Amino acid sequence: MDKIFHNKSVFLKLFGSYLLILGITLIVEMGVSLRVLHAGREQARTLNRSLMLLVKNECDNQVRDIYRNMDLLAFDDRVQTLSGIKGEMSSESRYTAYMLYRELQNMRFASEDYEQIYVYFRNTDSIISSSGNMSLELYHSIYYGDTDISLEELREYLSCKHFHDMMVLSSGGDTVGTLYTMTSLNTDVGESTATIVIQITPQAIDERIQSAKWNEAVQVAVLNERNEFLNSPGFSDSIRNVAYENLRMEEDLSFELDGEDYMGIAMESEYADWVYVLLIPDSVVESSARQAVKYCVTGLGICLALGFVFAWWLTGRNYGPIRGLVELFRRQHAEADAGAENIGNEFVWLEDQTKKFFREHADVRYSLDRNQKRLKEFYLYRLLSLPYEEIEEPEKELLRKSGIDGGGVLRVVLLSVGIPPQKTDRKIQNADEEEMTLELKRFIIKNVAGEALNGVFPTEIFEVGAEVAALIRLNAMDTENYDRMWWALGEAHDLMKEKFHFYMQICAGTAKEGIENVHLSWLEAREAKEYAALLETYFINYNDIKNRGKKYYYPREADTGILHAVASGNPEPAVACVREILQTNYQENHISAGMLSFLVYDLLGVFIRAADEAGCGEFFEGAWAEKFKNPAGKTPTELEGEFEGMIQALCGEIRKVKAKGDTQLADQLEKYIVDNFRNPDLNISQTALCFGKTPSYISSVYKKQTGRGLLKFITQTRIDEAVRLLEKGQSVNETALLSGFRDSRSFIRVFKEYTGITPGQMKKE
Amino acid sequence: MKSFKTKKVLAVFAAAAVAAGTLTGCGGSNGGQQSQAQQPQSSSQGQAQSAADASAATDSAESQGFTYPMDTDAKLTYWCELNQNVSANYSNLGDTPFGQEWQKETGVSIEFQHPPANQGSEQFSLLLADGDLPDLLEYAWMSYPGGPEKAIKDGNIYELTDIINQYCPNLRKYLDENPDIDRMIKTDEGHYYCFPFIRGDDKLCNTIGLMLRQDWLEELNMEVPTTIDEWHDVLVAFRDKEGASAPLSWEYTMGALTSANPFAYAYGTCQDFYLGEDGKVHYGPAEDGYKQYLELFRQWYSEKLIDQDLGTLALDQVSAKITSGEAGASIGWAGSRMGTWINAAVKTNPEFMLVTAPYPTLKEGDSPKMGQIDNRYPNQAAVAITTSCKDIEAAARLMDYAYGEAGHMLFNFGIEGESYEMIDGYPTYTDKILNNPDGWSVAQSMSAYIRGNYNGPFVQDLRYLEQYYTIETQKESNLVWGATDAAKYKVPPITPTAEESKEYSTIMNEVNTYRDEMTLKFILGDESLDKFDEFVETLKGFGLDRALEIQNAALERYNAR
Repeated sequence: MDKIFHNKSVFLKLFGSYLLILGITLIVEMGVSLRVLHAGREQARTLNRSLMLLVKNECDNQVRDIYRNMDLLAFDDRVQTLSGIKGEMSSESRYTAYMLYRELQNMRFASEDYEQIYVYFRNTDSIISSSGNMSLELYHSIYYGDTDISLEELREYLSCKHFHDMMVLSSGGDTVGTLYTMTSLNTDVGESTATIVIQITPQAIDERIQSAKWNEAVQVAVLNERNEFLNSPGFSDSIRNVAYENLRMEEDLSFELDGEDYMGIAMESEYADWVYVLLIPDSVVESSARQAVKYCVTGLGICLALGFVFAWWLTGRNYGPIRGLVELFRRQHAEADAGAENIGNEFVWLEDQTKKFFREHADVRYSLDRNQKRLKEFYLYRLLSLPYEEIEEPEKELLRKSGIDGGGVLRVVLLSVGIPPQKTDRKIQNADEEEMTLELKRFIIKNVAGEALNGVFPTEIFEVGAEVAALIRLNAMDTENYDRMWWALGEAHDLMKEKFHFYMQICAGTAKEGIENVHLSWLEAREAKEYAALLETYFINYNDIKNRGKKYYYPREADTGILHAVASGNPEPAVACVREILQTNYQENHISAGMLSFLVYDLLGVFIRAADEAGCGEFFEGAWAEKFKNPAGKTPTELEGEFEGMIQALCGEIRKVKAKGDTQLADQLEKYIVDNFRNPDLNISQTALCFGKTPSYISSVYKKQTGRGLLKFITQTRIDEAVRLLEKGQSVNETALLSGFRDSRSFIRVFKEYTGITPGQMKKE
Repeated sequence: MKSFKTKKVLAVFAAAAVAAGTLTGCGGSNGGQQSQAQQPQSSSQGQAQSAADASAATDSAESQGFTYPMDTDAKLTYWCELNQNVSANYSNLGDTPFGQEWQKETGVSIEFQHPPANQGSEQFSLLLADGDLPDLLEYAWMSYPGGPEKAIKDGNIYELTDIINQYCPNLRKYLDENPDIDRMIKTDEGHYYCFPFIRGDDKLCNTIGLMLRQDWLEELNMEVPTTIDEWHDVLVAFRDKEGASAPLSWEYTMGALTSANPFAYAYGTCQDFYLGEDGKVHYGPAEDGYKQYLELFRQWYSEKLIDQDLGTLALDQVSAKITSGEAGASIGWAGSRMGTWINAAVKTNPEFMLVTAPYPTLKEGDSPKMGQIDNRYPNQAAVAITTSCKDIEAAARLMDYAYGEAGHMLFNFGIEGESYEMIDGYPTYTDKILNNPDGWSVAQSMSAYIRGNYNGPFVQDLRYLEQYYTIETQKESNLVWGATDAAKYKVPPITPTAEESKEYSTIMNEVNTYRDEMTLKFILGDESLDKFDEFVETLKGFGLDRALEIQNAALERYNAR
């Protein structure tokens, strides 16, 4: 991983892409921000407008209620009565004043907004209020002592005529209340002496405003023509700079107060001579926009971070194996080339390396294939040219592995460039050229014939010297396979003749079982090739030339027949056999002299072998060999006679030797039986095993020599012993065991058979 | 929900059925079961226990080793009027050091709710009508329409007998030691319904009386008046010599002051019920003495000896008039009126001094018979647990705290080391209270730390008053004002039965309204006193006799408690 970042350009690209993504985020953020800000402003504007309306309605309702209550009082009889009093108050009017006090108390109780509700009577300079009846002076000292208005000012104000009037009451510059005033309406007299006052606190207005606020930062001011604020100065002083005359009604306003931007709206009251001004700092609107943007950007940031982490993880995951490969190649590189190379882009480098690697790999495999092929050809050649026993075990192992040793029937076919007789001269003229041509032709043969044969049988085809050898694996040793092979080879031959204008000579060995016999097949094929020049054909089968090559008749059956006859010292079959061979060769084959001598030697060879086997090899050391030295000079009859004489003599000799051997064997057998009859396992088979002969042989020899059966001899020996033991007083059971019988039952049975009595009877006697 | 509740109640009945016969022994089993049904379901287990063994409950509560503060997250709502001396500086009782300490010591969070000033009874009515009751309701429960027993039967508040027995060992102990108080705070049926405000000493019961300008008396070389005639002379002198435009001025709109008018007492009557020599309840305005009293006042009013704005007089005006010298005599409390006025007035008039005057008599040398006196249980600021309360135990233990040693000190003296120090075993208020650095009056600074100077659910300690009265004349006040046989004429805290109460309140509503109207008219001269008999007839026409019948029956029941 580090490697990627050590590499400057890769790192820059990576960094660049992250910057790009960041850039996109920022652009989106900006877009969202502007959009949200705009929407926020719109919303704030709408909210402000509806809030303004709400505030206006709330406050106007309050004012209307106040006016209504004042109207009620203005027409109140008691007010009118009391305002008409001149001089001292009567007891009756005192009670009326009390009742009015009760009325005002109820009114105040009904409306929480009213701080004070009172009626000023100019005639008595007194006040009837919800808090009690008293002189104006006392009232002023109790309730307006702290305010900016003096008793005289208050009296003057209250003495004036009012209709739905109002006055802001302030204390030290702060608004502490609003007095709504109204002069009583005396229906009869034009002049009135009572002024009704309802006083509300700025807080009462604030409460109405507060209930409608959508944001704490919203500031609402109630401002009259004299630029007096009727509600509580709870908001910042900056709003005090808003001047009544600067306000345009129901339009979007913007102010800069204390260096901060405000947006706002103003509306005129329908009932009172004032305006409502609503202000909200831009920062509030912006902050709500910023809030939205913050969430948006945070979301994007999280996405980005997650993406980054995921990309990091993926890179690590994917880069890990690549890095391993790079390191591997680098190490290889470093071994091959000490100078550490600047890799540059690792991925490009890796691609180059990999391509190179695969190229090299292909080359190596190609040469490996060729080598393997050559090796295989070498082994095949060895398999052909050596008898199987001479091939060493490791080599055989390899052959087995290469699949050649698959068992089954194998046939070797030698394919070579057929040389037309008429062209023999040219061959010498340009040896080099000829050699190349031959090589090419061999190549053609190998391919064409290989193709043809492989279509039919699994075939190994390879060059052996100037020839091409085909090792064909046949499915079975039958004619159909044979025909198919020849058909395929014929096709190949015809093809070459047509396309390449040369002939292919085909010499086939016989099909043999197993690779052990491949050598033989090869030898046969080679032998067949020797006939090629003679037979003037391109298709030579060893089977076709086999007999033709021997030139005399000597069947193998005759060979064994003669051996048997001679070995058993029986001359007649041997004589008849020799006579038949000689007559056949003379009469049917017209055997040449040379061939005849071969034949004679063959035959003699058979007899010598028979003599050796019978143990009288010395027979031919004498003159008998000389007699056959020139067979050609003798007539068939003479030759026959000589053979007959020789056979008779040989047989006689063999018989003699044989008889002598048999007597010895019989003696040995008898001695062995006498020594071992106590062993119940002793029988003919066991004995034969002991002498290394077959049971029937020893039985027949013994019978021939002694005139009695070997089994009978064994049993008799056991019976004799038993009689001896019984006479000595041994019990039957003991006798049976000591005389070599397996059990007393068979002993008794056999004993009775030989002696006519049971062993028990014998014992009694 | 309803059926669930019913099932629960049935289950409780089943559990308590065996023990029902032994139920507390107070009152009929009918009432007992009623209150059982109203008990909160959450405490059903404890309730069953207490029902089974009420007498052992106190012991078990004590033996449980209960200690304050409680380990609870209970948050209770507590409705009470905010005393004017508190509201001067705090908008909520919970903000005061007293309120903080009370919550801290008990471990219970309290959310105090206060009605607007002077609207206590109206807002109380609204609360009941609304039905959304706070957990704890501080009120003059004797004034509940139909009486406290009705409040229980209405399902507004809990019957407290079992709760007190189980959770309130302090109150239980106090009531056991003070059987006369115990009798006062029960209903006729023997049900407890509140955590009462109790005046801990008889001296605390004489709180209202006459006062007048001592400096003027000295100037005029006059004695403190003791008879009606002397009073007349003094008032005339005040009017003529001192230029007082309203020589006698008091808060006529304050019922407690108007009904305790010392001049009416001089005529053996008052504006309200009193206990006659015959041991029966009488209605003052219907008695002959009341006419004489009215004649006197009518005379004085016409002579401008009494404030001409009498009917509308409230604290603001009276304070202004007394301190400015427009008035020279008044009726009021020694602490919140007399002390306050002296302290306010001496700032502009160092000579200003008020002196208490004894209850006047008709003849010189007579000792006054009647006078203002509170019951030890004065039907003020008693706290009931409403049926809205979910955590009865927390509520009960919160309230019981005040009747224990630590709570008693908190309620009467505040926080040791802050508002008082123990000096020779005497809880002495610190300068923070008596000479408040912020310039608060003693009443205001006391109100921040204690409830002892006004009222509340606790036993008031006389030692508060001994210090509260800083001026010599104040300290003499309960001697001067207490020198009557007032207690003899005081109607004990009796209540009509629930059944009679509606009839009673209907009658009395009309009677009192008419009384107020006519009394003022008689005094102002708007109505001739020739019509007094007619006035009495009208009262009787409203059913006054029936009301008296009810009252006397209630008195009999009370005496039978």
